[in-house]
Formats: sequence, C-alpha cells, structure tokens
Amino acid sequence: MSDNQDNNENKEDNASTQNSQDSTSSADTTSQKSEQQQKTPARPQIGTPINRPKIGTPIGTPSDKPATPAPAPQAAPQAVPASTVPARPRIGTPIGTPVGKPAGRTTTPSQTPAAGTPVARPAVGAPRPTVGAPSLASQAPAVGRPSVSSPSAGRPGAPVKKPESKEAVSRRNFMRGLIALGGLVAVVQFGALGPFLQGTVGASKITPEPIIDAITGAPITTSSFSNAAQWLTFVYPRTGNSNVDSDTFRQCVIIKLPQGFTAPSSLSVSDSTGTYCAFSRVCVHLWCLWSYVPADKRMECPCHGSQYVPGSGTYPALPQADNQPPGLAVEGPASLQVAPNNQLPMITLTLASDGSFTATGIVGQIGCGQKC
Amino acid sequence: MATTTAQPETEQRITLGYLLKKFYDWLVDRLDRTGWLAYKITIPKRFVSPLPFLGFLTFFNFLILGITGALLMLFYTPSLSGAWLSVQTINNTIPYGEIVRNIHYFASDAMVFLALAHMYYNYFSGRFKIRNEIIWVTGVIFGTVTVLEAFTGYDIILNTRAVLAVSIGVSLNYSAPLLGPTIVKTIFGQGFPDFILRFYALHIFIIPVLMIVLMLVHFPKNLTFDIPVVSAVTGAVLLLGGMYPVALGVQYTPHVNPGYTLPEWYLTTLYAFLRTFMPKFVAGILIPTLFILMFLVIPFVDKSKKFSWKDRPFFSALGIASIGQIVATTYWGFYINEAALTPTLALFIDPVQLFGAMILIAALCFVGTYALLRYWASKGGGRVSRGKKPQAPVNFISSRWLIAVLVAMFGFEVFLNANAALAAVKNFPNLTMFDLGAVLMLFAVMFHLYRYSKPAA
Repeated sequence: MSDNQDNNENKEDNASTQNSQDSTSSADTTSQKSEQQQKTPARPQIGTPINRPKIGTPIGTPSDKPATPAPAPQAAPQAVPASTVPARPRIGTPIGTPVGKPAGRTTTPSQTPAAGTPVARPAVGAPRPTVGAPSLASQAPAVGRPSVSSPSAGRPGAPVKKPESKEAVSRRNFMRGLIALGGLVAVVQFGALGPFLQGTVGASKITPEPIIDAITGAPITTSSFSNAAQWLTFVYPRTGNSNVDSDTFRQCVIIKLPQGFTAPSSLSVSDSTGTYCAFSRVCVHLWCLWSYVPADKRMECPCHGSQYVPGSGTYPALPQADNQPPGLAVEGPASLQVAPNNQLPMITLTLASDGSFTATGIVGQIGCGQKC
Repeated sequence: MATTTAQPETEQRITLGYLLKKFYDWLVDRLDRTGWLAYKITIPKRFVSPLPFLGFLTFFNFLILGITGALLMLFYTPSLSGAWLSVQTINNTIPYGEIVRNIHYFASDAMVFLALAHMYYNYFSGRFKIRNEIIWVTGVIFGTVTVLEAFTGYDIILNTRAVLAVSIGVSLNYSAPLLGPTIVKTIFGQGFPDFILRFYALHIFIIPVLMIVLMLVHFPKNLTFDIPVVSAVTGAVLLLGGMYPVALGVQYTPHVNPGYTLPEWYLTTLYAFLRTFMPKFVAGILIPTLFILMFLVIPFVDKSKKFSWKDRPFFSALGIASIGQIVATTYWGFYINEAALTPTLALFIDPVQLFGAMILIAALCFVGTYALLRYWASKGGGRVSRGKKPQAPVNFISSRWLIAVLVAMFGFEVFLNANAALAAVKNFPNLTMFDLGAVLMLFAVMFHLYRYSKPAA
C-alpha cells in the first residue's frame, strides 16, 4: 500500500513541476518538441520506459538490498544522491505520453526520483526499453524492464545475496504452499459442474409402449406383415417430439423371421403367423443405420458393409452365419469386432392375442452391443 | 512505433491531407498502446512468391468463413428435424443465400488445402528451424483443429451423409479404450439431438475460439498481405462455387437408406483405413494420430543447420513419402466398387493391398527423392544460390500498350460486374458467383501485370 501511495505522490510531484516549468505547454506542440530535441539530441524514444531505479520489488520477494537479511517490501536500491543523476531529457510531450503514466503527465529532467523513492513501474506488458540515453545509462542505476521474478535488478554489479535466514524461507514457502492449496480448494468445487456436460435434451424412461409404424403411424400388428413388408420400423422409446424421435438411437426394426428361423423365446415373440424379433437399427460398427434385406435374410449396413443375422437359420452361401444367435454380425467390420461389440441390441416384445406388439425394454446398450 | 522526425515543421498549411495525416499519426500513436500494432503487415509493392505467406491466405479464408458463417447463422436451426430444412431455405429461398453458402463451403475447402500447402512449404523450406518450433507445433495442432472445424461444419447440414459422418465421428470416440463412453457422454451428449446441438456449438463457437487463441500463438510478427494473390484466391473460391455448386444432399430421415456415401476429400484417407475392417480405434484414431505426431516432432528431430530441402535429403524424402501416402489413401478412399454384389464386397479394402501399396509408395518416394538429392549434391548442384538480384523491370510491353491493356481489362471487369448483377436479378446464382470470381481474378491479373511490368513505379 505504501508503495502505491509513494507512487502517486511522486506522480503528482512530477505533474506539478511539469506545470511550473512548462508554461508554454499550450503553445504549438510541434515547435516545442523540435526545440526540445535540439537541446537533447540523445533523447529516448517517446513511449519507452526510461531507465530509472528499480522500485517496489513485489511484496513477498526477497529484498535486493544486499546484506539485509530481513525482507522489506518497500526496499529500494541503495541511495544515489539525486544531484549525481545527470539532467535527464524530458520525455513525453502532449503527443506521445510515456508508457506507464497516466495521459497528460510527464516526468521532468530535474525530477528523477531519488533512490528509495518509488516511481511508477511500467505497466505489465509494456514494450521492452530499446533506447535509453547513453550518457544517462552509464551513470544512473541502469535498470532493465522491472521483472517480477528478478530480485537482482537493483544495481548492475552489486552482489546480490539471497536472504540467509533459513527460517524465513521455510515460512515463506509454507505460506506459498498454503496459498496454492487455498487456490486449489477455491476452484475444486467447480469440478462438480462436470455432470452438466453429461446432461441430455432427449431423455425419456424405458416403459412398455405399443409399437407404432414410424412411416405410416399405424400400430404394428401381425397383420401388418406381408411378403412385401417383412420388416417394419418403429421408434422406441417414443417421446412424441419429432426432433427427439428422429434420433437414430431410437430407431428400431421389427422383423418377421424367415421360414425355419428360430430365436430364444426371451428375445422373440411368436404365434401361428410366425416368429418376430426386434433390434436396434444402429450398426455396432460406426453407428450407421442398417436395412433388412429379405432376399439375403440378413441385415446389411450401407456404410461399411456389416451384416447381421435376424435369427438362427441356415445360409447355404454363408456357412459362418449358420445357426448364429439373433443380431450377431456375421460379415463385415462389425463381425471382426471383439465380443460383445459384435451383436445388435434387441428390444423385448410382448404379443397380445389380438396380434398387437408392445415393446417392453432394451437388451444391451445401443451402439455397443447386446451384452454390453 | 511512431517516432516523430527531428525536422521542425515550418508553416504547415492546414489542408485536409494534413489533418488526415495528423489524425493517422494520432491514431497510430494511440494504437501503439494496444496489441493492434504488434503484427507488422507488409503490403508488397513488387512481385513476391506467394508460397511463404500461404499462412496468411489461410487466415484470409478464415475471415471469409467467419463472415459468411455469421450470415448463415441468422437462418440456421440446430435441431435434428429442422436443420436440413433451414439449410434448404437458405439455399433456395433467402436472397443470395446460395452464394453465401457456396462461399462458406469452398472457403472451408480452400482453408484446409492452403493450411496443408502452408505446412508442406514450411516443412521443405526448413523454416521451422529458425526458432519457430512453437509456431510449427501450434501450426500442426491448428491444422488438425481446422479439419475438425470443417468436419463439424459439414455435419450440421444434417443430410444423410452428415448423419453418417456424425455417427462415425462419435462412435470413433466411443471406441477409445477405457474412457471412450465417458468422453462421448461428456463432449457429445447421449443421442443425436444432443450430438447435433453440440456439433453446432463446437462449429460456431468453441472451435473458432480455440482457433483464435491458437492464432495468437501461431502468428509470427511479420505478415504479408499481397493484394493480388488474396484477390485471386477469393476469386478461385467464387469460381469453384459457380462451377460446382455444393449439393444440398438428401434430408436425413431414419427410413431412407443413404446408400454408398463418401466423406469430404480431406477425410477419405480416414475412410480408406476404416474400410480395411481393422479395429476402428486403430484405423480411425491411432493411425491418424501417429501421422500427426510425426509432424509434431519434426523440429526436434531435424536439428541440422541446413534449411533448403535440397540440403536435407533424408527429411525431404520423408516429406515426399508422406505426400505420396496422403495422395494414395485419399484416392483409395474415394474408390467404391458399386457393381459389387454385396456392400461388404463393394466397400472392403484389403488391408494387405492397402498397406502393401502404402509401403511401396513410401519406399519409392523415399528412395527416389533421397537418391536424386544425393546425386545432385554429388554434382555440386544441391545448394541454392543465396545472393538474390533485385527484380529488374520486365519490359515485355511498352507503357502505352500496358495502359491500353489495363483499360481493356477494366472495361471487361465492369462488363462482368454488370453481368453478375443481371444474373442475380434473373436468379442465376451460379453465374453471379462465376462472374464475381472472374472479376476478382481479373483484378488480380491487372494488379500483377502493373506491378510486374513496372516494378519501379
């Protein structure tokens, strides 16, 4: 705090002397500037921070005053009598105000701060000082850009010693650790926001629902099937919101198994008209939607050619598909995936005496497999 | 930094030009306090090769994409049922909608292509060596992010192809060992309504912000803004839009079989690997990641003091081999034998064939380049001469004729503009795009002709 106050005082000092000296400041700025430049040829570039004693090491860093073990936050480089500092050209005209000062305020030649008096540090991120008046730099304590981490910026050549007291260091380290821990505790709470990302807009419960043809909108019954329609699509679980219901993860297919095909009774329903199985339509390879091809008696995915069997039967042209459980991939990339990632999830059904179907649940995880 | 000169200004008359100059100086001096003058942008007055500033051209396409993307946002609906319909409205109903959409599409293609070309130029010229390691590494990451941005873009149109692409993209993430399902749940949500919204959020905000942050690290301080080349690239984008307007695709409905569908050209490589039926994590994530990693570590492996590609036979051969790989797998990804009896036969790529061909191509490219460069080096011709002569004026045309040619071209420009306006009125967006592209190309040629024939002027 005292640091800041000193800063302000100093600035005001600067400003007042500036005003007293600069009675012509309202005159034409350009002519004034050129006049000034003639007086002082080696003039620092406008806008660069001037070389001046390093001030105000950040609180908490060791003092750069040698041989003073106790850290003093306001410590400044050793005193240099103000009279030994050569007159410094005034920088800053109303056109280009120096960096690190509020607009309209400038430093003056005689107002080089006596050592020990803090002056404004250039703002963080200010351009690196490129030009300094050479004559000045040789005598005045040359300071580069004040860097927060460098305690040695006081005087070039002056031996810099670290504080010798071991206790002080360990205390400081203890406090630093405490601060770091405090920061961690302060932010760790936000980890609880993780589930926010796992929320979903289309959630719905798995409940028994009569299945409805996704294309015609009519309830699916055993009489919906024919030679031309051996498979029908439906949405499960259904929400009634068309945006959510067109989710591929809700697309299911009910298939009337070909003659001679069987399926476990837990995964199928049957009556005198035939046996029916229902599957998730999402291929377990890369999640495209497959279609049933009655001529091949297989489900085929158009993306990468995975093929699945609807039930256990015989395939004269494809021996590896003989008598496999329903939903198993028998060809293509899905068949090469490691179990359980090679079998379609199924929808459990009930079949009423009037021939209508009800979906009751999902076996497996969609996109993963029947036994996931 | 604006440094005022030491000469006293005498009796300056207050003219408009003087005031403007004063204002400009004032502005520059104040902007110096901000970050805006951190980048030095050079506008070359003479012809320079466009190759060293392909990066800026990539950035320029990013700007075009930002502007057209913001316009498209005004009419787009990010929902599973409404997205395609809103794109259709943009394409068919909104005035100039098809033009904006085509510019957005082809600028994205141009951005991906230019980013790739930019990377290879810097690879072969060895520019990553001059303390540019961070720029190189962020550049490789930037390229990957650019492809992801383009990928999310063509997904949110929600035609059949887009839904397949979303499925493949998300399920590839799902296949990652251990964390896959959690990653998908966290990044993409739990179903297509979630996926689409999140792809949209990624496409319009999250990834672009990431790209801007990467730019702050990736951009060097010196940039070159070459007006004719920028004009020509923009013109090419418009010309392509006019000649090959991007299709709307078929609206996604769960009941329509999409048939054989190809991804965008920069992803057919990935598609080829997926079609070998290897484990999808290996094909879709591991192989591309290894390829990207290879480029990431280049500056830390190629540490010689040689810059020119001719002086670095090993790494030049490696670069040529990698280009060979990209070309071969990209082409292979496009190839589908649609006459095959089953989808499996049509799509299956025999891994032995694919990887055999890749190894063969890599070996041929590598050995060929390496041998050639070593042969050149042995002949003493490997080195590039360093001392460049100043560009001499090319007097292939007299100044009078140059004026005549420029006037004629200007007239043609005006004619094309009028034609474009007419086409817009008559609702021929393709022709409008083509004409506007031609105008930009013509301007580029005019500028170049002037600059090349009269470099001193």
